[in-house]
Formats: sequence, C-alpha cells, structure tokens
Amino acid sequence: MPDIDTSLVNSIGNIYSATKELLRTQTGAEQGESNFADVLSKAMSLAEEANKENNLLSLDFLSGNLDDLSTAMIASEKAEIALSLTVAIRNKAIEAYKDIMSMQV
Amino acid sequence: MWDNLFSSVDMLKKGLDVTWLRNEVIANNIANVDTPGFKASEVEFEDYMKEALKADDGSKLELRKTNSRHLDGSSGTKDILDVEPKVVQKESTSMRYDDNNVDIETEMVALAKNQIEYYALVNKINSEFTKLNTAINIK
Amino acid sequence: MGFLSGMDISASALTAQRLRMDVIAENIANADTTRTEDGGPYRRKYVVFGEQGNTFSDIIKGRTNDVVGGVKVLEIGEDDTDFKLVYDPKHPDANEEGYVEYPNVDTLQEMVDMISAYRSYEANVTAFNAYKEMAVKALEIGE
Repeated sequence: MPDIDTSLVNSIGNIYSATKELLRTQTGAEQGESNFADVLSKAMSLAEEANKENNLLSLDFLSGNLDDLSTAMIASEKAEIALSLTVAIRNKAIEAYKDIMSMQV
Repeated sequence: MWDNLFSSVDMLKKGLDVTWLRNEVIANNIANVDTPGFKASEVEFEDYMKEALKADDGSKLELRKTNSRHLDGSSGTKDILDVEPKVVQKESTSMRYDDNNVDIETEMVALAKNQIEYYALVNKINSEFTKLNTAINIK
Repeated sequence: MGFLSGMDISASALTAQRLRMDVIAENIANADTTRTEDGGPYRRKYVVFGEQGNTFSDIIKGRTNDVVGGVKVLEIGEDDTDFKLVYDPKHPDANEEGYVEYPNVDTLQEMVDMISAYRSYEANVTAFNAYKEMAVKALEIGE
C-alpha cells in the first residue's frame, strides 16, 4: 500500500497528482477509506497552520511589527489556497468513494 | 462557532477604522499647513496593540480562544478587540514664525503609507470572506 | 461626523488656498496703483487662516473618533506698513514735497507667497485623492 507523504499535500498545484495517488489506492478498497482520511487530515492541518500563521501576521501588521508588507499578503493567500486545497481533496475523495460504491460487483 | 465566525474580520476591520481615522487626521494637518498657531495631530494605535498583545508572562498572545477545540497560546490580560486608537497632538517645536508645526513632507509620506495599509487590509478582509465562502460552498 | 467628511476637510483647504491666491494676484496686479477710489495708493492685503469647526482640543478631551476639521479664512486684512515713497515731482499724484506714494506691495515677496500657496494647494489635492481612492477601495470588500 503506497504511503502518501506530506510533500505531496504541501505542494500547491499538485491536486491532480494527489488525486491520482488516491485513486491508485482504490485497488486495496477495504483500506481505501483510511488513506483518504490520512491525506485529508494532513491537508486540514496544513490549512489550520496556514490560517494560524496568517492571523499572527495580521496582528503583527496591525501593531506595526512587520517590516515587509508582502509577508502578510503572501500569508493570507497561502491560507486561502490551503483551505481550497483541503476542500478540493475532500470533494475528490467523496467522488472517488461514490465511484467505488457504484461499481458492479 | 456562531460567536466568532467573523472574529478575524473584526480584527482587520479595527485596522481599517484606525487607518481611516488616520487619513482624516492627516488630511486635517495638510489642510492647516498655513494656519498660524496650528499644531499637527497624529493617531496612536500600534503601540497600544503591542501592549495588548503582551501576556502577563511576556509571551505573545496568539488567538482569542473561544472554543475548546481552537488552537491558541496563552490568553492575554486584555481582549485585543477592545484596543482603541487615540488622536494626540504632536509635540514637535515649530521652526516657523507663525508657530505652525505641520511638516508637509512628513504628512505626505504618512498619507501614502496609510493608503497602502488601507488597501492591504481590504485585500486581507476579502481573503477572509473568500475562505468562508469556499468552506460554505462545499458540494 | 458625516459620511466621507474627510473630503470636506481637504475641500475647505482648497477653497482657502485659492482665496489666498486670489488675494496675492490682486496685490501683484495693483503693485503700482497710486490712486484708488478712497484716495491714496493701494494697500497690500493678506489672508488669515484659522482652523475650522471643532478644534482638536475637543478630540483630545476624549471624543477620539469625532473628527471635524479643515481650515477657513478668518479675515482679509490690510497691511499697515508704510507706503513706499518715490521722488517724482512731475507725477500727477505727487504731494507737496514731490514724493509719490506707491503701494506697500513687494512683488518678489508676493511671488514667493504664491508658490507656497500653490504647493499647499497641490498637497491638499493629493490628500483628497488619497481619501477618494481609499473610499473606492472599500467598495471592493466582498467582491
């Protein structure tokens, strides 16, 4: 059973290859769901981290501690994308699950 | 969830309020650049924020924790959403015979900086709303 | 505080500076007027600016978000320095000793003043534009 490591989840723009990996694990169908859960929970913690970082930088910005405006702007964009990534993985996982369930046995 | 659905937006909105107020103050300073005896004013807020972010043990306040499942740091003594800006007069001595201490170059620089800060905050608020919409629109 | 009152602050300054320019222009135009309707030469005029509306001392006392301000012309005064005397007995306005009284306008001083007024005007235009652009940007929230 292939082990999906975090670097896959962390690289933005690799939703396609991430879902390809997910679909590959369908062959081990009884273990398929826990793999979805793994990847999804990793994506969620990434999103949560990015969001926390973003809030901290916002507070820094408001209290005048930030030397560099781009840091704050990039952080908010990262948080946004991390959340979208999580949602996309979730949607793909559910789609794959539905495909599996509708397979004729 | 319902109480702090918008807490990050509220925080940024506070920044917007401060920046807006600062713009009014700067505009007034520039308007009175030739008024005898006029003393320029400025808005203090960032220092108060720095104070509010310090917890008792000196570590930095992270997020306002309203739900036991939220990640956070130690809680500070003051709620950061209660920090208010203040308009104070600048104490600088005037070099001019009419006792006016408006330094037009400083004010113009402050005006430009303030405008950029306002734009940045609007962008950040939009980003927050986009995230909320993304989460809501899950099919 | 009204909606977008920051614009009124800058607008009041534009009005005041323009009035100042008008007075300076009148001074320069009449720099050689030896005879006015009241008799006697033209007397230099100047403007006095004052802060408008609630002063900022009110704000310091605690109403920190109630910003009213701007500038207005309090008065247009007449400069009472002495007239310039020029010896010219053939001039129709010469007095008994042959001196003609010319206006107390120093054209160079007026030109410097005019440049200063223009610079202040420009600064206030910039302030006005910054305010307007910020308001327009606020309209983009949620787009």
